[in-house]
Amino acid sequence: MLKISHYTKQYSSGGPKAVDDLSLHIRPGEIYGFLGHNGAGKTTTIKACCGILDFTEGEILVNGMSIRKQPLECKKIMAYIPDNPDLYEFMSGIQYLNFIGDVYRVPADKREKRIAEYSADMGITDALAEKIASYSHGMKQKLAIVAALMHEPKLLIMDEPFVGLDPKAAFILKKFMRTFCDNGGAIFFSTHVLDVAEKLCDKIAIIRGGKLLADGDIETVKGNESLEEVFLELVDNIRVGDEQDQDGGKNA
Amino acid sequence: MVERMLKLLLKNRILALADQFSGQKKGKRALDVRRIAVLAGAAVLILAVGGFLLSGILGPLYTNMAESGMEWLYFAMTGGVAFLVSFMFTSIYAQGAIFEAKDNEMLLAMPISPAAILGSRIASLYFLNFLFDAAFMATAGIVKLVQGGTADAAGVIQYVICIFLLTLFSTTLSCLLGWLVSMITRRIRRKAMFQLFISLALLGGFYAIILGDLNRHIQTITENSESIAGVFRGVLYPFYAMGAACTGKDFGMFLIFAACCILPFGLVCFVMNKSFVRIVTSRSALKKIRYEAGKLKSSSAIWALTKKELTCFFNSSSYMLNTGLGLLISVGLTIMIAVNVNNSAAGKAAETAEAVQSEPGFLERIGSMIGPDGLMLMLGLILAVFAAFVYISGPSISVEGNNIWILKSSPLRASEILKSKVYAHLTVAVPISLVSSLILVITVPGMHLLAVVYAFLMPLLAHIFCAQIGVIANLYFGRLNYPSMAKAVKSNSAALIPLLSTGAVTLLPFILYFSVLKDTGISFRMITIISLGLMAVLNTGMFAFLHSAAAQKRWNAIGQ
Repeated sequence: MLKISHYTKQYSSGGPKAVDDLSLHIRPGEIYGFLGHNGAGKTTTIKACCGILDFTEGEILVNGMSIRKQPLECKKIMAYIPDNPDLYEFMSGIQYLNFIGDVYRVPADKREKRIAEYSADMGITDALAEKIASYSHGMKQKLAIVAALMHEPKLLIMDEPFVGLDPKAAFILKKFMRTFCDNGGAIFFSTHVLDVAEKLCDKIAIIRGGKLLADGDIETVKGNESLEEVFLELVDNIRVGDEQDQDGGKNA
Repeated sequence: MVERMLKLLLKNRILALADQFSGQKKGKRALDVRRIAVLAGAAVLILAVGGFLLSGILGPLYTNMAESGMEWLYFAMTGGVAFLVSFMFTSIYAQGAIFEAKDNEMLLAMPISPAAILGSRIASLYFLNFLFDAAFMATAGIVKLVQGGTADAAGVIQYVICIFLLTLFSTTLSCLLGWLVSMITRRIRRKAMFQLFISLALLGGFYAIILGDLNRHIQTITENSESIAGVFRGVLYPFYAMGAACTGKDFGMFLIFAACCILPFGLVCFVMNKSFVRIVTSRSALKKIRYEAGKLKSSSAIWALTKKELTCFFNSSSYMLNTGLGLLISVGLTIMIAVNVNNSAAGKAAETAEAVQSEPGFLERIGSMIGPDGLMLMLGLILAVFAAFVYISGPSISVEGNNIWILKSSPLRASEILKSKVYAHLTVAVPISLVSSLILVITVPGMHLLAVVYAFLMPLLAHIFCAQIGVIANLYFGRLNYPSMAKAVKSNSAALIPLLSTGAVTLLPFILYFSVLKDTGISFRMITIISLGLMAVLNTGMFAFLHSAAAQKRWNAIGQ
């Protein structure tokens, strides 16, 4: 569904590589977690997959189509949820959803049904008549999720989707992600919440300084250790046991 | 600690003001010599230009007042007008900068006292008010000296202090109105329209006081100076005290004026300080509207985008006021032309003709060059020139700001996005343009067919030109990193391109005609038709560009 081959991004020619020769393959039915510290290159990669950012080298294919050569076809079957839900604050929630419905050419009857269903799941139905400017961060995030699902995409790309969500909405989103992929969809998302990645993802990729450190089935990547231990070892060269011993020594 | 914080906040406010004048991007925050120079230069420029324009008005006023022995009234009136103008221009700024500043809550969470935050904001407001007050009062003082008035050192010092005191007075009122507007906008849904109404009322007031029939105002003042003096001695006593203090002869009045300025300012600061936290952290007092699901209307992507642009425009008073004011001017101008033409027809025609015969003036000379039907064509041209002052599409890409991801990640062509911005501009501008043309055609007698066609077509083509060049200019020269929509509209130098280019393209054929071509045998009618053709060709070219791969490439490059 999403194939990233030798993706490289430099923001300025001759400058450092924000992402260097990254290759990933997200198949239908997979929830693919993308892990790394702040500034590792996760958002840059995600934005390139959505056609927001151009890239220096490599290729990104969505359902076999190049995001560079056929961007409209790619965008029609995917949806993107950013880490910071900057939405049109001058619109009401329902105006925004209707606008997204128009942009993705969702028939009126289908959009009514989907808005009713997804906004009820997210618990924002009552607030849809209010201006988005009056929404909290979490409500904006929920609205962005509802908007992303309006055209029933095959590929969902999400940047830190759980930030700002209350426990109920996070639970519903996790359940939805699983159902979505069980029905043949694919999800590529970044997160800092390692517990969520460990429990939810089929596969993960860990990135540091724009370079891929590890990727594959979650069980293969973490082996007998917890994801947190593997992540810290790979990214920070910290062995959790050593750290605990050192702390213990200090405390003693 | 408080003192240090206040110093830091003041520095920050000065930097923000310097950024507005220099167009400096956020990020370089050093208060270096260059930026202080920019700010000081801007202040001096405003004072010099304002002063130069004012001196023509204040000169005759001083002569009249000095002759009748009422020099104090000259200063009282100038001070009163300075007070009104500064208050009018800074009240809306006060609302945004003090009560609805986005960083209020962030600063309150830091170890900074509310008094320091409030103090820094009032200080920047005071600085802005001072620019206006000083422009008026310094000019008034210079005019007095140039016209033979005298002043000793103590008098000059007293005069300068009076300017600072007057600024305290206008700052007090700006704070109060800003506070009032802020309280009201928390309780109403159509916030942007209310702010627009207040801004237009203040601008209208400014026009009535300053730009109206000045000669008549001065004559009225001179004829009724005794009764006006009575009003100042009564209900406008602080200004009477100021006028007397400014003459440098009455120290008692100076003390009274100082008390009139310092006490209300202190009181307002005290009350605002007590309630600052409550005001800036209070939420909207509006009752929540519960959404009731209903039938949703679907529309094409391009119409959805156009509606989005229109919603954005009508929800921002600064967007409407800055880019759409030309529409109001064009309607007002049309009505003015219609009324004046009819007045001439009703009785002044003979008088005007006689005056023109005895002393050939500008209009008569123009008339002899282009003929009476040419004058009719000129009316349409005037409307077309005013299209340049409607540049709604000019900042339309910049106002996307952080929301740009929505369009970028959607299955939309650049041509659809860019055209929607043009269509939104035209949806607002064209109906008003047609109404203006219609008023002109109906009310001006003797409009021949070409003039009628021209009166409709030329402004229409000018609006289309302005809308398209605005989008293209913003596509190439726009920024997305403005801190707010208001800043994207006000501080966007790319938005000046449609204004200047529309004016230039509209006028260019006529400038060429009067300067070079009038003796070559080309008729004024021919130039009119050529100008229509030129505008049509340019519009077609720009429309084709919006569909081109170059426009798509440029759109893709935005925000990279």
